[in-house]
Amino acid sequence: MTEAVMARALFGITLGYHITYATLGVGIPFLIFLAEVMTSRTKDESYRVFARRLTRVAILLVGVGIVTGTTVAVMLSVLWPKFMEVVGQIINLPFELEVFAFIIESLFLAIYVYGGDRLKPRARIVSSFFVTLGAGLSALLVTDVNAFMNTPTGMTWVHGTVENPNPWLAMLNPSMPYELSHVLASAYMAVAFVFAAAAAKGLLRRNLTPAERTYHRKNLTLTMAVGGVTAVITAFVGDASGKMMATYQPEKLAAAEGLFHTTTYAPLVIGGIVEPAKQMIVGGIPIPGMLSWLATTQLSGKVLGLDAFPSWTWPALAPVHLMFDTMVGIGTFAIGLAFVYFVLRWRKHAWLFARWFLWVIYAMGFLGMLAIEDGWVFAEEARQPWIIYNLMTVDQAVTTTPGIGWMFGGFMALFTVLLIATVVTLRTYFRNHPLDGELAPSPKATGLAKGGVAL
Amino acid sequence: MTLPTMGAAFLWVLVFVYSILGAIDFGSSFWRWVFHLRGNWNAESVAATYVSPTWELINAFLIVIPVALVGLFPAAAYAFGTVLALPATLLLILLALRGAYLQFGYASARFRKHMVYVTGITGLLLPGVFIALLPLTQGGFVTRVGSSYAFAAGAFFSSLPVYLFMAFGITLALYLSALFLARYAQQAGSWSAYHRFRRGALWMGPISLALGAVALRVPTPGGLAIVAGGLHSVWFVIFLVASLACFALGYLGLVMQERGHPVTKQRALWQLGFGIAQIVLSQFAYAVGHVPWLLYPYLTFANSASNHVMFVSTLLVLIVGLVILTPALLWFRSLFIVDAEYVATHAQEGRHSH
Repeated sequence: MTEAVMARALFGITLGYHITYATLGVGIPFLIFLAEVMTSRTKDESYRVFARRLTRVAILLVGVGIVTGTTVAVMLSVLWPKFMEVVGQIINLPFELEVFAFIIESLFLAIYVYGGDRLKPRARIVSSFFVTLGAGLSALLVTDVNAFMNTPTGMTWVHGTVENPNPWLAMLNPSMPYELSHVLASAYMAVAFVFAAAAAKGLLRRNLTPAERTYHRKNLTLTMAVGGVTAVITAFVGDASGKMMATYQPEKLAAAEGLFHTTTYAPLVIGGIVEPAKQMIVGGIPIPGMLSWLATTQLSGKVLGLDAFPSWTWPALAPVHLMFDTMVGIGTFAIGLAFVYFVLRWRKHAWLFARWFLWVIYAMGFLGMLAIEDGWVFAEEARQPWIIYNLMTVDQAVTTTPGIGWMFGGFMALFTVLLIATVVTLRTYFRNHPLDGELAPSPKATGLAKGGVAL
Repeated sequence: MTLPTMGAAFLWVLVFVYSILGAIDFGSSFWRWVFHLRGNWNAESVAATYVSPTWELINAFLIVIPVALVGLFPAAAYAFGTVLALPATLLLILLALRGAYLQFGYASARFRKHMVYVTGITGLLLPGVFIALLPLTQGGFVTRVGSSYAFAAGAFFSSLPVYLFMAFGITLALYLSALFLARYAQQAGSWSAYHRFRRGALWMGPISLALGAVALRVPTPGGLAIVAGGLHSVWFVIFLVASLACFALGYLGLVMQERGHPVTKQRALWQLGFGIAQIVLSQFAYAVGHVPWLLYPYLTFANSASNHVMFVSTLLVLIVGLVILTPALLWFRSLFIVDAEYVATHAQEGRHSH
């Protein structure tokens, strides 16, 4: 394994790990905010219990997310020093602003948590809104740097140096609106399905009290609604970013779809193995003209193929196509599942309570997070060999310091410890704070605001 | 003052604000661990109250430093990024364990004891690891190879001055945090704890001073001579003398107290104030000796500065952001840290729970 491959593996795993925490850290405050709004509108205390239990998860995950985020921030400079030197000359503002977004998030989280039950409902709504806002902005600002890496603008690149920089224009690069809204909507979607899965798992337990059953039912409906709506938004934004890619990053689109030759009436091929040697996709299901329509809104539209680009700039084609289809596939399944859920609910169909249906919803919780990870891996893998598209390759950016292997070992050990401890902490907490205790409040169960809570 | 110098001054302000906040944070968790081991629950609960609600915001401050370095001095970010791979890994793992275990400990009783141990040990080590960056920037351990840099890790980790710096950093953090916790104990009216921390400060003050003096005098081979260089500037002398005066005054105040007796709020506050002033002033002196080098003898403020547009926008964004959010941070502090009632009630709870 070369140093560059080792560095990519280390950074990829670190980011993959951070993305789990970061996505949950963005989505959970939004659900807390919605639960607070529902409490205020319906005067139904069970939403308040939901908010309270989510808050506990949020405190832990946001805290560990800070740790992993700090790791990512420093690791960027350590593993990709040449890249960060360029970042410092053109696209560092998002990183600077992100710090402030984070401060807003943790300030209001502190107010929301420490204020607890002493806050008025309106104050709880406002503070949870600002937590959501701060968390969302943090994610968007960091993602903006990634958007720049895909479509760099706001400067002239002269023999490896930045000239005529315009950092604000660099922030407003062509990918920015699509990539940012796609990331935010998909985070809300995935997290909503995670808690839909938690509710489904709750309903699958035997010996539920009626109060517990209604609690889980209400949460399931709330999270399925959020998941369904955001899944539709994610799909629309994804479609728009496909069109953006056709204009600004045609090579990435061609790689995602395994399109070797520039064609009109280009088909969309679902699944299949891309074979670079044969220059075709083996075993996929082609939909004629669909790719042209997605990229240009016309069946006759011309889509650039990989032949328009030198082959050394092609990413690994077979995995990229499959990752793309997995992401789209899970997204489509999510929309379908939410649709079916609400149709069943509307028709008061018995399947709604069927155990197999709850198991499907449970599985969707994992699939949603898988889609997020998969989407990020696709986004990075499909840009290879570039770290900044068409300007700097990953090999040019990687550190010259030997010994990445040691770092790799150290961080893997660290992440393993953190992952196990996170799971154990959450399990212990919820075992010690059973739901029926919180639904029928006793002094012990409402103790969240009073004792033992810290940031 | 040129623009790059202003940028460097701003970066320096960030570094020393973090060094003070960090020293208090790390030192407090070390004291907590020590008093936990000794079974002194009064002192432990005072330290515990401080450790809890602040680390996330202090960590946010830490992040500003590399981010500002990248935006202001990208060439230096490149050099430090290249040479720090190994030290930064060590630092990150310690910081990560610390942050994560604070979370686990508060979320679940099962991890509380682990938390006290992990944060205590990392709290002891981290100031040493952080301060080791100073001798590194003073030169002698980094060589330029073509357009890149190489770090002589062997020479660095077997260098006496580096370990002197580490010992200095650790004892200084313990001194400052002991002063801070003494004031905290004073607010809570917990006198046995107060005198524990006072005694800690009495020990750590002179030790850290002596170590600091030696660390700066022992030259690193091929490195920048801070004291010899600084003595050319009258400011260096002024800052150093003022710093020593603050130490003398603060320490005198600490010595002239009767054991076991209550002290006034003003007194606890003055002690802490002198301690902080001492550190700030000596940091100024150090900075004067270090100017204009970011990494001796390769990178100065001027030759590693970013392009004008980026430099100015970075400075503006960070300064405006901090000016807007600092009142919010201070208010947060007043809510959870200076609020004497909060201190008192939480110290009480801590006592009952053991």
